[in-house]
Order: sequence, then C-alpha cells, then structure tokens
Amino acid sequence: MTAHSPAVPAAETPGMRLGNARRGDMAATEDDFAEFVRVALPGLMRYGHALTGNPHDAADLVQTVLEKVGARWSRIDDNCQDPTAYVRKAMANAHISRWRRTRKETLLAEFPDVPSVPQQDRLENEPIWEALRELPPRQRAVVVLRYYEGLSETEIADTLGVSCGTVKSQASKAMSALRKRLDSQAEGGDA
Amino acid sequence: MDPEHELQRVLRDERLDVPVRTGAEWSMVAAARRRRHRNAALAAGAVALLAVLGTGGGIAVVQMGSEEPAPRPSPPVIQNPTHAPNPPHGTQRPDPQGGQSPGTPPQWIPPGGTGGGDRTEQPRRTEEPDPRRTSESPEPSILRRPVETAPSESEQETAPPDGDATAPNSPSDSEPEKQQETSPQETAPQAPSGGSGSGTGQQNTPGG
Repeated sequence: MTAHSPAVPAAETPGMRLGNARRGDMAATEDDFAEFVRVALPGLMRYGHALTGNPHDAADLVQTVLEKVGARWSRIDDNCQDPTAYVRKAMANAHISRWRRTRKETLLAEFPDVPSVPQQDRLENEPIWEALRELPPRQRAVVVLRYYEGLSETEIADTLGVSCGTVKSQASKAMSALRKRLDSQAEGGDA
Repeated sequence: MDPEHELQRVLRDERLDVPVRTGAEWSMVAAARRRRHRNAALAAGAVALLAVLGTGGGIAVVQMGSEEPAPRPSPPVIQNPTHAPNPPHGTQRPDPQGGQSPGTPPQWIPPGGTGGGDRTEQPRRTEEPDPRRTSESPEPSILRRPVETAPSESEQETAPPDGDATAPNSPSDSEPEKQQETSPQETAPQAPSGGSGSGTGQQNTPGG
C-alpha cells in the first residue's frame, strides 16, 4: 500500500494567475446570469406565451434567446441598463425570424398528435386569444408589446427595429383583423 | 365587443403563466457555456484557416516571382569566311562616291567607335556587331544603314562597285552603296593602319 504524499503546490506563475483570474471572472459572470434568469424567467415565459400563442413554443423561444444572451452576458450586462428589455426585444425579433423561416416549410402530413394526458388549453375558450393566434407574427408582436408591456409606439419601433409608421400600420391592421374576427364569431354565436 | 378591452383582459390573465421547473436557470447557464465554447472553437478554426491560406498565398507569390524566365542571350555573330579578314585596328574609309573625290581625306575610324566628324547618318546599330565590318578590310564605310542585314550585305558585296576606284587594294566586294553614305566633307583624315590585310596600307591622299 503506497502512501500518496500530497503534492507540493507549484509556485504560481503569471500565466496561472491570469488563468485563475479569468476562471474567477467567468464563474462570477455565470452566477450573475443565473441570478438574472431565476428572477426574469417567469415573466419571460409569460411574454413568450403571449407572443407565440403556445406554451411549448414559448419555452423553446425563451431557451434559445437566453442561450445566446448568456454566451455574451458580460458584455450585455455592462452595456445595457435593462437586460430584461434587451431579452424581450431579442425574443420578439427571434419569433418573427423563426416564423419567416418555418413559413417556407411544406407540411407533407399532419400527425394526429394525441396526448397521453389530455391537457386543456387554458386560454382555448377565449375568442380573442384564438383571434390573436391567427395574426401574423409582427402584428401580434406589436399588439403584445402595446397591451402587455405597455410600450409606446416609439418604444415598440425601437424594440422591433422598424419605423413608427410601420408600427402604426401594423397595429391598425391587427386591430381591424381582431375586430373582424370577433364580429364574425359574435355573429356566428348569435346565429 | 371592444378588441382593446379584450386584449388587456386576456393578456393579464393568470392562465398566461407557464410553469417553470426548479433549477432551470442552471440549465440556461450550461447551455450558454456550451455555446460560448462552440463560438470560440469556430473562431479559432477560422483564424487558423485564414493563416494557412495567407501563408500558402504568400508562398505561391514568391514562387511565381522566382520563376521568371532569364533574359535570352543575344545570338552569336557568325563571320563570313569568304571575305578577307579585316585588320583588328580601325579601317579606312575610302571615298564612298566611287573614286576619290578631291579633298576628301581618308577617315580612320577606330574600332568600336565612329569617326569624330561622322555626323551623317543614321544611328549605328549596337545590338549585334556586323560581321562584315571585321572581315572586310577596305569597306568604304563602317556605318551601316539600319535596314541592312547580313544576307543583304553579302549581296551588295558581290555586286561590282560602280566604277569606284576606292583604293588599290580594295576588294571587289566593296559596297558601293556604303560608299555613298559618307559625304566627302565629313570624312576625316585617316591615320594609316599598320596592320596586315589588304586594305591596311592604303591611304587616300587628298587630290589624288
């Protein structure tokens, strides 16, 4: 049975000190990011749910965006006054980009997806919710940012990276589509 | 039904909340760490690829520059063995007019140089030494016309001179055309050449 004598700790070289410092900085950054996610995640998930109309798509969207933000967290935290607003901005743009990408896909068949445990969509019975899900992603983002986040037209334009005129036109189109859908549903219900 | 009112109501509904499992934030941290490592590896690969391409391009450029063809040497000059060899020294320049015009001193032209008073003519070709000049002693003029070539010169030399009594020892292959090149007033007195050869001892004395 051999006795393992403790190794004599080698003298720290400048390179080792620099590496340890970097690791320490990285650990601190990761802890900071974890704290941010812990605090902001419920609100971001709710926001994603309003944006996508689907909780599974909302979780996917939030995870994708937070992964990109976390990789550059040290820079974002230093430059942004409100990282939550930055993340929400990124989520809106990511949702629009994803919708544009998946729109080109051609569905060959629809799978009869029958869940093992029937889960009722909690907002399924709301007509406004169904009407909101049928809107294009940019119009829905404008509506959500306006009525969920309470942002002004200028702030919405800055978030989405478009002009104020585009925000106004998108909001007008969205509201007219919602009104038309609600009226048709009311007439159908009445009939 | 007012859409704005309905929107505000639905978007504040609790049913919009999505339950999140405990410890989900550490999954996000791990995913962000993996993404950071992947980006760093991609950046390092791109830098290495650029370095290889730059090095290869530089080597290719250097090789292309070192492979430039060497300048071609001038073709060797072939002397015509049929003519009498010229003396190594300067040759006389007899009167190109076909006879010694009075008052035209013979001109001695050192080898490799033109006469001092020779301003006539066309610039002398310096690319190739004319074999004729060295082989023919009693040539009336060393200066050649620019258009003349070796074969053409041989033809001229075989033609009989046009009644020119250039020099007693001038061979039959003197070139009457060349005799016309130099004007009488431009010929300078020639120094006698002591070398061997047919035309060496001649002197065109003025007046005679």
